[in-house]
Amino acid sequence: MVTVVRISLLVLAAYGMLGLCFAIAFHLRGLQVIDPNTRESGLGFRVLITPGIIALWPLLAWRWKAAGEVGSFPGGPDSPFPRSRLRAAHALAWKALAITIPLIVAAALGWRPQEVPSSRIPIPSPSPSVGRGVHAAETRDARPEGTGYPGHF
Amino acid sequence: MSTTYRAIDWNRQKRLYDRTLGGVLLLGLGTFMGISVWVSPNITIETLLLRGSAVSALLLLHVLLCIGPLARLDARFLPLLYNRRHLGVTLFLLALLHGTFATVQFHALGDENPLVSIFTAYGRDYRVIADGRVQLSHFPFEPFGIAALVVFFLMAATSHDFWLRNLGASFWKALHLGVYLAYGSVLVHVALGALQSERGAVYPALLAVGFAVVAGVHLAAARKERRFDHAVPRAERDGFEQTCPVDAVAGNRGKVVLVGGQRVALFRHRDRIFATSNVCRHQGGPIGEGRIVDGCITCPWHGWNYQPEDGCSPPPFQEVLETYDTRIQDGRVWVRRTANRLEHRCPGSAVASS
Amino acid sequence: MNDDFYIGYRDESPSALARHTRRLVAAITAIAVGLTALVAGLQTPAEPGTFEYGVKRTFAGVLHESPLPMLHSVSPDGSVTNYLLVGSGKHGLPAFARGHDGQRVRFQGSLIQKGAGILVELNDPDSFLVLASSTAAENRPADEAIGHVVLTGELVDTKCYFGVMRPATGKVHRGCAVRCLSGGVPPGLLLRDVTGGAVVVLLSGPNGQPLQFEVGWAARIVRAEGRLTWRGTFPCLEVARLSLAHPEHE
Repeated sequence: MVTVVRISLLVLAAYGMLGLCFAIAFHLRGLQVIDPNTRESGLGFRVLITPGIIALWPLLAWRWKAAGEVGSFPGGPDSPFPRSRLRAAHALAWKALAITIPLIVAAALGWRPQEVPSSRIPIPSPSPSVGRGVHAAETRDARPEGTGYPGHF
Repeated sequence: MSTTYRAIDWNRQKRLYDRTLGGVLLLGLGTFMGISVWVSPNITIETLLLRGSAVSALLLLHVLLCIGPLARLDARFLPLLYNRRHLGVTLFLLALLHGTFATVQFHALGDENPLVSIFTAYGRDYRVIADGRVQLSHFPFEPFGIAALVVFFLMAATSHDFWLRNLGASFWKALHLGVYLAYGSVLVHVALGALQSERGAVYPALLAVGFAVVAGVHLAAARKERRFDHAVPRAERDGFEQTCPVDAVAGNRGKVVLVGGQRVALFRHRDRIFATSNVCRHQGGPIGEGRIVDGCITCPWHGWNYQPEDGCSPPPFQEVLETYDTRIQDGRVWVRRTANRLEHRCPGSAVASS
Repeated sequence: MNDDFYIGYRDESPSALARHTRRLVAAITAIAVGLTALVAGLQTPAEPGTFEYGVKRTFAGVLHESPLPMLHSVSPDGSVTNYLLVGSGKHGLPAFARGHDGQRVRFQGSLIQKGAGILVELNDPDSFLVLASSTAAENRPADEAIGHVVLTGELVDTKCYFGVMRPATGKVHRGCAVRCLSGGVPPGLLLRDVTGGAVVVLLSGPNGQPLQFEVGWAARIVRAEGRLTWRGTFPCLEVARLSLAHPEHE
């Protein structure tokens, strides 16, 4: 399990590093190619879209490559998904939520972890000679920086 | 709808929106911290921040999810929708704060990489059936929070209009439907975490009420939409379909009708009837619920403009809506079932000629 | 005509709509703040505890590494204190303090305290000094035997429980407890009585060795059987048998 998680995180880190490299190239060249409206955009805009570029770089690379080819990018501005399909996805999402969420939440409540059981604690007090305050055995060396602490000297 | 992208196209309403959001958030966090310190004086500041960010993010998520369907049910909720993406980004930042604090607090400074530890600290408890018994008491809750955080990140990172245009409005919308996956994950995260840790019935009841409210407004909006889409088809003649009476389209206002099973927006402008696609090029807003303002069809969601004659946005903007030929017969508006080619100029139908 | 039509980029919202929006925002604010207050007010109160983060004190005494790392310290007036020792972060006794079993040492560290239980976080390697050989009075303390017991309680990490984290028990804290126990922080068994009182018994292995156990059991209810003693202010259990408690409903 640890190995799987480690490898997954490494793959994710590699994806992010590639995304970072891509983002630099994209800012220098690709951004203007896929969307000429970005030409006069400022630094704020570029910073704001950078996390998205790093996360979605394969999509943008595809878009960049396809910039000259008409209609080759799915979901491009001129080939929208039918609204009815989005509405159907919406309905499906809610059906799934309506069934799974009540079940999972009820199960989580039904299987609440056991609490520490209350019982008589079979521990008598220790002998009174035991010190209960904070002290340093070598008081001549004690240079506490904390002050006003009860029991400290 | 600008030709050059800016980080944020600030305007007075957006500033008001963000200031209100900031104020409410500070008030909520302040209330949480004040009462927490009062009922639990020994609580650490780290725990306060962890829980405060969690509670405010959870409440914000519920508000956020209700805005869309409420705006479908009543147009007076539209001002809340206008700058909804800032709510989304704020939600992501709160969730990120919560996730980062939790990771540092509970998993950092130990003998394992904290990001590995989140998934593996009690790896054995991922088995729901152990020793022949169903076992959910110790099932890890952290991965569900991370799943939601990833979705919130993708949504926040692609919230700028640049992404809408370059991923395509529909693809973008599909990506943002991920919010329901995130919502489900958050509820499971809370149920397996906080609800299993704290006792009492109030927290579960609050979560159930929240879910019921969000589900309820979605259901109500869906029923309204379905009633409209399942209306009985009207008569058809020469490729034109009969729709509503002319009088049902008020001056400078829109009306949504069904043509060939698709929604089409009718507008009455200077006593002529025009028909365009009902889907705004920006975020797919319902054009037909908009108005004519300064001679332009104006989307009710974010105010994007189109000329009624050709569906084109006024220069220098470049968005185009499909237009449909119209005809007026027997006091009713008839709309051609097939859309015109883009940028085709329609004269519209004069209301007086009926 | 456009009296109720909202266009976000216009400076003014129609007045009737603006009024509605203000009422709406006020209602959402009231509900949100009310719910926040309710959620905050229903939290289980955290238990007391102190962690002097960033504050360093000097401690001296005889270091005992096993079965539980402790500093046995005698003050000039003759009273004895046993400090349980942990490292910084989620670690047990740090490497720089190991290998000095039975030696008199002095070091600086930060105090962690809950009730009579006192821990020291050793976070300053440069201050760690081995002093002259120990005197007889500071030799390994004699444990006060209580008897053979079977105890059921929550397996906790002592560093968090005695004051670093508040709260430091239950499922939400479980990941942290696993990391702390895995990092060598001494394990404890949290017991509660019917009056709400709580006590943590330190767990050690047999024959003066640290306890070998499954760290994934952190924050779960376990059953421990063994010989119970007092070591200074700490009740300690020399565990002969440790198992997960399986209640009926699990």
